[in-house]
Amino acid sequence: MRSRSRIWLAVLGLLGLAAGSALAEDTQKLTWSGVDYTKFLWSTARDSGGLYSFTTIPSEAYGNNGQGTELELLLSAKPSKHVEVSGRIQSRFNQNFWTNFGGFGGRSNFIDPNNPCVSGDCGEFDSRSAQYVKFRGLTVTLRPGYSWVDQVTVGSSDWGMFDPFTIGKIRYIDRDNGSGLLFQGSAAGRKFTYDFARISLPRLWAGPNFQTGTYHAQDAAYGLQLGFTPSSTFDITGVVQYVNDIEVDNFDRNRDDGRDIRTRFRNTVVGARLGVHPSSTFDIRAMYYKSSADSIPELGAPANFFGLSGFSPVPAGELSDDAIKLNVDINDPFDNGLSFSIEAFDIGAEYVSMMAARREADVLLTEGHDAAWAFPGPSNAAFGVFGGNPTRIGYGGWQGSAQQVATINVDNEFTDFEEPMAETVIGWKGFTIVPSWTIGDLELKAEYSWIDYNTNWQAFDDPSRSVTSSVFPVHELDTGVGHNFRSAYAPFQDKETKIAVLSGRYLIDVGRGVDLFGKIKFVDETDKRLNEARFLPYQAGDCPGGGGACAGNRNFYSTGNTTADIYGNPPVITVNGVTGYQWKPFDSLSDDDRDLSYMMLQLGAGYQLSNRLYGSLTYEYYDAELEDGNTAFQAYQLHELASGDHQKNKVMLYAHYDLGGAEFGANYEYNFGDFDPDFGSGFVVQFADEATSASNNVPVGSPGFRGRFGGWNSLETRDFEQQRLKVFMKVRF
Amino acid sequence: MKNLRIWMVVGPLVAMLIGTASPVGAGAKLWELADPRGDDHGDGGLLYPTVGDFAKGELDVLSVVAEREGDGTEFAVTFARPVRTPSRGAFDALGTPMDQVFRFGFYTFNIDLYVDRDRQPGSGGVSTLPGRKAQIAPEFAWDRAICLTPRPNEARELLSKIVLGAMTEVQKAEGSGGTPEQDAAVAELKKSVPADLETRVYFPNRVRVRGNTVSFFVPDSFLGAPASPDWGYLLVVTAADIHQETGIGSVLGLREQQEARLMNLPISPGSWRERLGGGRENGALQPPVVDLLVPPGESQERLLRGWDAQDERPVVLPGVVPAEIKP
Repeated sequence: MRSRSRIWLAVLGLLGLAAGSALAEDTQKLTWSGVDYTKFLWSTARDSGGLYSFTTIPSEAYGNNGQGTELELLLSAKPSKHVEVSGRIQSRFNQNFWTNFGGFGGRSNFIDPNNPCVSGDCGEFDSRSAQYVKFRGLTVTLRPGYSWVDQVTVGSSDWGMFDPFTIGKIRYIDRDNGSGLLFQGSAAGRKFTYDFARISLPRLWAGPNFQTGTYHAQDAAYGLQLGFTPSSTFDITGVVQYVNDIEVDNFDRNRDDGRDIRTRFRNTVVGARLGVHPSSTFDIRAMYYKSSADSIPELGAPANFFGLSGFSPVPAGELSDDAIKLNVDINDPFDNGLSFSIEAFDIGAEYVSMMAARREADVLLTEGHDAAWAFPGPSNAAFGVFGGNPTRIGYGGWQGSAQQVATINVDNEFTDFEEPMAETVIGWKGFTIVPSWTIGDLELKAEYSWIDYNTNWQAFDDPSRSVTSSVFPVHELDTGVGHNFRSAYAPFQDKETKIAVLSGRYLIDVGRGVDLFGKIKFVDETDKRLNEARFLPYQAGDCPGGGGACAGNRNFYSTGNTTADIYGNPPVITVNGVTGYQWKPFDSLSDDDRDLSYMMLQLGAGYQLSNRLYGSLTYEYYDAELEDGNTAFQAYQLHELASGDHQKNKVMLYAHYDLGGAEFGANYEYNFGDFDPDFGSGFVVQFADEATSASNNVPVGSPGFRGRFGGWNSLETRDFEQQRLKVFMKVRF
Repeated sequence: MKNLRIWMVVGPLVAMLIGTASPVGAGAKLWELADPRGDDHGDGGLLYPTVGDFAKGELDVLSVVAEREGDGTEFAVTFARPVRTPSRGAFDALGTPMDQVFRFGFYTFNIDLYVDRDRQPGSGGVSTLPGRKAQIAPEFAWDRAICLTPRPNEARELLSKIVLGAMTEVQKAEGSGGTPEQDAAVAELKKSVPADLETRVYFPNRVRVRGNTVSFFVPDSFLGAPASPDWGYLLVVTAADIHQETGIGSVLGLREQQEARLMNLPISPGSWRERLGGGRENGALQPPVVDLLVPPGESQERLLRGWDAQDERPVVLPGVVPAEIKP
């Protein structure tokens, strides 16, 4: 045995010594490597539009069933010691199902905006189902050896060298979708560093209305970051981001001297990050950012957002605000395993950084909201009161708690249910304290967060305007158990959130060690929304009750402006001999009040079954008692009312198998629960007819009420039961 | 009622605060070693990768403490900056969350601890794990190695594969085998490698990350006894390479044979996004070591510069004997 050990130890020695000769050369020929990603989706929700669980993008598909493969080929070369090239081509899951049988055929009327390609039905006529392999990114890195620059990068990057408040690490679909120029240098042994970038502005999302106008080819974001690290105990970094979205000036009719340009949208962020690390016990970090932004409507940027359904990655008009954060970590100060992380934060309502991280960053210490409750409706549907808007991510939502990003330009597109969900923290201010304690094999961690909002205001903080022409895009608004991941603004808000979490992890020393984990989380959230009588839509006593029609005497909070524009009076209806209002008249400040009492309990265990196989089983129970306005409020008549009691259960099984270069993973979820609606009183219950049954998936004759825009809210208790599975294989070669 | 629920969580927090009065769970300290702050630069010129997952000080070891813990030893390594914990960001194109892949709460470094229990010069191994490009001074030849790495199970498999692959290469080079008896002997030898490896190299999977400190447990069944202050120790910190590849590309001739690396990033001249920078030209034998514990009077920088590519001479690193260090 000993001699065998000596042999392989000798082999190890050979490895150590012989290694590196392959990389000793100043040049390297073209090399290829690749990755095979294959995934299998299955769900009882039976959606099969695409091979991703979620998207909100019009004409894009989503689904939770099917099998597909992505091929990624990576190439690299080093023509000289000064130059390195790396590139990537890849196919896409999208609608490339194995059942497409290679992506041939397809319907002929594939260019039809009213009939978008889904589920691979356009076959080879649509790139998303033709198994096309696309050039994804190419990066040339130059190291010229000059004193003033360490390296120059030309081409693709994820731009992760900046920070999530200014220019965040990008993953739109890939990490190399963005291209530009990057200069990086240093001096005095890297005590001084700089990064300067010009990034070609992504036309798909980096401007008002998720576009950068007609003339996009010269649009750019610029970033400059200067770092000073005199010692390991202190560092300071200054950062500037500037976005310039320009258009050709159509009023310049003299083309003989070229054409003038004008700015459609500009955005500047100036910030500083300071780090003090005096000892291994204390770590202090402070950040300050000042942003300004300006959109020019005459060049195509929106001047306001009509009604209550505006979508844009940035509010309209001139904006200016700050984002401030202070973190203090105190590591085991009493030498007994107890540590603390403390964070204070204040993110302005009008803080805008167009290039801020949209996902996969976590700018705050708090857990935030749970991703199981992603969208307004009880099943995570948006606009679910209207037919054809079922849940996309499913009743189970995403797994885990949300990550926080400092933008309303949140991107959760093309994700599956086990991936992290991001939520906006625009407008959040407060503090978080996280103590953690280790006692032997038991690790305890807790959180208490108190969150107030810079977006607490009445009539979008500008009573001189109509609430239907705000400069703030509201996205999916702020109703439902969660706060909807990209909704920062509401017309009326007076909100406060408290989050308390206690989590634990314990290793049972049996076999390879059983990892037990659990968590209990409470969220208490109140929002009085409209809380001044002058904003009530109609004059007192406008609706007399007793079957009498409302008079319609509007209440104006400023000249010509009234909330009756969004909270119109109900008609009088008679159903089964009962006469009354179709919905409760909005005549009380409490009609839209929100009060959430939320509890989540998690228990789980993980075990390394063999060197190659790990498995875990997790159970989560959610109990949400929610008062979220009544039929007068109607979730802004756009979404399903979620007032009532919610109970959700998630059983999750996870397995990961590694076969030395080939990885396999499986995520199974069994989600079940119920929603018992409580929409208050003061309205006449209606009953679903055949058409309502067909469009809203409710039984004929089931009770409900119909809202201002004709949407249907069911009064029946809803029972949910959905299963889903994602299995993947990843082979790197 | 709501306040009651909040206090159900806040209450234990208060209890934690009250609990600060007395240390709990701390085992008997076996030994402690200190390392200077600010020397996370290898031979003096090493640069962290520029990808945003690394920051100066995060791989800078300040101290190593060994404590008796149950039927083993718990090693606690404290860095100058808080340990970077995996986020929930996607690890790959499948969207696999990082915290699902790196379950042990860290992902940016490897810590190798080579243990010389018998203190007999020349007794044991003098090579470090693949990719470290260093040798150990014969007087500290190791008989047990501990490798704390973000993906210990994958690392164990990979090491086994690397060793078996190297054995095959050696067999080919020496022209051994050929007869059925020789082939059977080689097959038997290869079969024994994984089990033998388990007795020699340990990949901790009881790991805790708390602030600046990562702690890992090593059972007596591996070390043979609690970590003694009279043993020799060499601690090496490298930057973790979190991806793992098969060698199919090189087998097909599409790429050059890759150097064997056990989960560590290589070093190259200049500044690099996903490699250590600051390497020397023609630095094939330059160790990609970020930080290192050295005995009093020695210089980490000098030791890590002690390689010679022309003579194919790697650096030779001495260990440290805690009991021999004067307070």
